[in-house]
Amino acid sequence: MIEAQRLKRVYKVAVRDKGIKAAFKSLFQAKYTSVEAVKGIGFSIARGEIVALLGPNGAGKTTTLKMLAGLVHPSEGELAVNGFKPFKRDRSFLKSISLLMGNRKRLNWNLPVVDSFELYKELYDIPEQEYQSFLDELIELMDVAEIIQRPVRNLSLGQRMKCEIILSLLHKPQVLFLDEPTIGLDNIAQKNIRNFIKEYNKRYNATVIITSHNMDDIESLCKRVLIINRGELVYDGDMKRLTDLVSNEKRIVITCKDNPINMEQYGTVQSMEDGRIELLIERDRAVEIIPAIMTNPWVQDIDITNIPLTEIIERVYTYGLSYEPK
Amino acid sequence: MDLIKVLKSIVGINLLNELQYKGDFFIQFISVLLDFVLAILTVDIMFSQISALNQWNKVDILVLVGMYRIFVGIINVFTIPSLSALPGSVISGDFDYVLLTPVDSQFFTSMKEVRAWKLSDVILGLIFIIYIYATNELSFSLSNLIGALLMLICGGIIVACFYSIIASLSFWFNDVSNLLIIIPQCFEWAGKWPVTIFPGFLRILFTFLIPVGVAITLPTQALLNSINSSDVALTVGFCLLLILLSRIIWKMGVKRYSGASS
Repeated sequence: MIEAQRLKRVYKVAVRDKGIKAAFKSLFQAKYTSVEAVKGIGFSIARGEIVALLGPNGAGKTTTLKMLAGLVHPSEGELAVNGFKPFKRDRSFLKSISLLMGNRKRLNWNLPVVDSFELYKELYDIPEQEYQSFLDELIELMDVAEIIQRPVRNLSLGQRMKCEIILSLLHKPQVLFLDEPTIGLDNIAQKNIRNFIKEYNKRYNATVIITSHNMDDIESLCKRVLIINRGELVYDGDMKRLTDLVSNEKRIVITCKDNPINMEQYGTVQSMEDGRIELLIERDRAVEIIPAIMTNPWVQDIDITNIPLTEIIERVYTYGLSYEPK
Repeated sequence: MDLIKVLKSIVGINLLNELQYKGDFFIQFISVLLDFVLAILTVDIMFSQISALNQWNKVDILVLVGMYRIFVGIINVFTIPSLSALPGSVISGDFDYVLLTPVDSQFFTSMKEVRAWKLSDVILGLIFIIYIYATNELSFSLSNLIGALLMLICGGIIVACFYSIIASLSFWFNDVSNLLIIIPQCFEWAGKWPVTIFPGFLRILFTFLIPVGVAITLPTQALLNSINSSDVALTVGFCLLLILLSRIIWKMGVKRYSGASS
């Protein structure tokens, strides 16, 4: 479905020194520098997969997403999506994909939502009957029957995003590129969007590539993660394996009456204040350490969790896959 | 892809959009009417002092004023509003969505915004020309009418291509909005007069660089029966050349945009 080999993208970026003099000089004698946004990455994604594309700001993930969607031409390397070369932007290719950017809008602000849907039906040349039955299905899935007759400007952010998603799916794309699809939404709206993406993927065996800084999106939707940092692909694989690679710990939060116990003997104390101790212990020794802590009479409560995904990803961004717990 | 069907939908959605602002429609119509009356008064005052302007008499100039109104109406329905929005969408990155739509990007950008109420200029201009012809007992042949329509269509395409070339510069430079404002201002200033009255340099400027003359003077001359076949051939040739040029520049610009966005 998606094949990328040695994908590279170099940008020519204008640079100048600070100040008005330099600004004037740059009008006549502009200086440029080359920035390698993506440095020869490669991956393969099968039909029906939901894959997260993660990385810190400026890592190269949006450039990668735009190369996949055909908006940016790769400087080097091979790329095929659905058997097409994306940058040629064949009509058949454009009809088989959709790119949704959470911070951009396509719905007409002044008109009822359904008018924008009608326009896109014509732009994508969707037969009337197919359009109507699929729209009904999407409306039911998203539970938006009551709002599609209302002008977009009168909708909440969550309602608008639901309608934006419907708009980008009207032509039943086989590949869906989602760039921060839940940005700015409340928890309930985020959950609804995630459930909808899951359902669309299941029903139509669609391939979904998602970039998000919201780790709830990633945990809930993706089994596979691609992590890009400074233009390089630093990890491609299963989410569970990633957790095992950079975290062999469990986090224990102990509430106790006093702090008389020497916790250092069990693991790394991360914080200790007002009777609340946060401790990192080796996962393999958990069965031995936890009962030992619990037998202590001062302990009132104990809470055991895995290292949150946000922290796991942060470790990969900062230390790569060679993170060693202190 | 049926472009006419797509165009119909774009017109439809824009019409719905404009109906949201009915008051605005009324005010714009009053302003157009006032501008039109002022143009006629100017001609009237001028011809109270002179009898002809470079072989154009008062009636010819009044027909030209009507033609100007028709032409300005046509380019303001599609070309100007749509292409004027391009620099903003290139800066904001919204142009991404144009490239992702399975419709020719130049066609879609040139037709995206429709100001249907500007058709009132066209209707006003038509009524005025008919009135001038009727009150002055003038007549025109079918070939005059076909010639005028052909010149009007060529003029429309030439101006659309010219505007598209200027708008395409936004793929290279940060913002060309101000440059785009100059063009309608030139039309406003020079379009109400025959291009032949301008001195050499301005005549070349308003014929080839800012094609006011081709767009307004030639259709008027065709209707008044004073256009020759070499002018027609030259205009059609110029029109085809500009279509090709604007297409090439557009493609180069889109390639550059795709390279610049991240």
